[in-house]
Amino acid sequence: MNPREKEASQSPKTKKIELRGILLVVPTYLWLIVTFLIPVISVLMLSFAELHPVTKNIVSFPTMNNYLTLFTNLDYVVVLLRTLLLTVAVTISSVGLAYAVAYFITFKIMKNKYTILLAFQAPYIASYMMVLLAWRLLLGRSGVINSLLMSMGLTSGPIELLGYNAFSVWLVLTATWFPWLILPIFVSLEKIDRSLLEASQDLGASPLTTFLKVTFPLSLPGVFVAILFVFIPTIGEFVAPAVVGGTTGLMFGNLIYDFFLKGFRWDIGSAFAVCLLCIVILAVLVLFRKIGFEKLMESL
Amino acid sequence: MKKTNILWAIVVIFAIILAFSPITILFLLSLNDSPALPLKNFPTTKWYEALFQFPGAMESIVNSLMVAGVTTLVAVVLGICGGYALVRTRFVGKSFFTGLLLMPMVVPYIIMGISLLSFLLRLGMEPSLITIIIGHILLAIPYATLVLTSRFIGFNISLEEAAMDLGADRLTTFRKITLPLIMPGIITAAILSFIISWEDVAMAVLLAGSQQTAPVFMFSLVTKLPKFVPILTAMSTIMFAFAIVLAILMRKAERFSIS
Repeated sequence: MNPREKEASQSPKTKKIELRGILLVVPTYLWLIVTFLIPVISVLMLSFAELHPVTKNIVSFPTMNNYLTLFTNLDYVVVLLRTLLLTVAVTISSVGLAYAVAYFITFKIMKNKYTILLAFQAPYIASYMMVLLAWRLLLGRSGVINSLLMSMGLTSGPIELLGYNAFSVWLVLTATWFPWLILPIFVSLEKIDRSLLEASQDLGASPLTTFLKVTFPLSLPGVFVAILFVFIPTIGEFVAPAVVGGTTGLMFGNLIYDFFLKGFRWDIGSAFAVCLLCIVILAVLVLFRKIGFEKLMESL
Repeated sequence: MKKTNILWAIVVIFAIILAFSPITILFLLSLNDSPALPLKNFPTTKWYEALFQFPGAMESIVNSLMVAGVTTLVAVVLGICGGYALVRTRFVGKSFFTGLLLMPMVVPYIIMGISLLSFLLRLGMEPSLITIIIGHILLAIPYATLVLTSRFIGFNISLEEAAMDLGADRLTTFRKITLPLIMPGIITAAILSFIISWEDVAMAVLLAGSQQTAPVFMFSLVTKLPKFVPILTAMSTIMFAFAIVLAILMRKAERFSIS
């Protein structure tokens, strides 16, 4: 078949296929646009508007008042800073712990690697809420850990750090997220060509140098995926702080929740949500730039 | 060398304790007289009995099943259509579609939740199980579509062509050839969608009305009526057992459909 014939025989088919493709993606397209794109854009618009608190009619537009409310009230700024700090701390600790476990499984264990990997995901089959409930009982001034320590005579009074506070939120989020991060890091560690590590050692590098100069750089794609996995849900977290955060562990997500479901100030809540979204977009862009979109999708 | 081994042992044991002890202790406490150590009158089923009488508890589990069931059904059907279209066809705006599909995966739940809530309320919808289902389908679509896309990529198209050459119409080909071949993908997508809906708290808390799913019921009880928390230990143990049975069954179905 010469090229022209081929083209002629294919072109009607291609056209027909295109129509079929469009028909097949229309439901998903509509769903994503109606329940995701339009609502998020309307929140973006809402953040520049002032709503009547009861009727929800737009009183004035555009206005920067909602953003001013956020940045001129010290309480809100403190919560924002605490949220950023907590998110960075949770990201570092959970990725670090997951890296250690993934490294151990990859290099120190010879058989049943996948069974061990699977076992680490098992506790979370149930639900996030169940894990949070367990931590709620463990922590607290009169929680399981504190009462155990006191009955053993190790401390005279309850340890305040193990009450419901920001430290508890950090501990609980680290504990719930690190098992999920083991897998992506394990995948990129497992991919590393072992002869590279041997070469490095043969050329006289110490184990630490080999790790810093060869192993770690080669495992970075998995680390970035892990960072993405934990950073996004953590910065928007409001459930864990409500359960184990007490009054000093509340995060930015709790403020947004209150504005929408308790205070009914959609306009101010929207401005807060847009700020959060900007931080997330910034973080995602930085990570994507560091690693490249293609590579990221590969390791997913 | 000895020193590093001890260090490794400490790190790994610490990780194991952090990951497994909360669930184990929760299970033990659900059989205990009070939600604290030491164990007293162990084991007792009094919290399980209290659970069955507690208003709204069992109802919320049934609601969760319904929400997860509908979510799974819709997400898998949309996932099959989307996956097929992405792999097999060319259509205008494909890269925009892919971008839009991946976006919900990188936006925190709180933002999607409050956006959807304010939008649906403005449309005049009351928060109910239906609004939760709408939200959960949004969460599940990207995962279901991605799983099925990768299944369609590994699919030998000549099998379909052979069936059509032998005289089968499009529907028969889909039913007899395409569907069985993508079945493992469908099951994986179904497990994922079900679990996403079953264990979601954040989206459901934002979108729930007076009818609650189980995680929402637990959340509102923990934060509003802490003295009923022991009942929740029994409830979450039952849900955990259910999820494990479901996971095993689906894993079996997956194996069966591959062979």
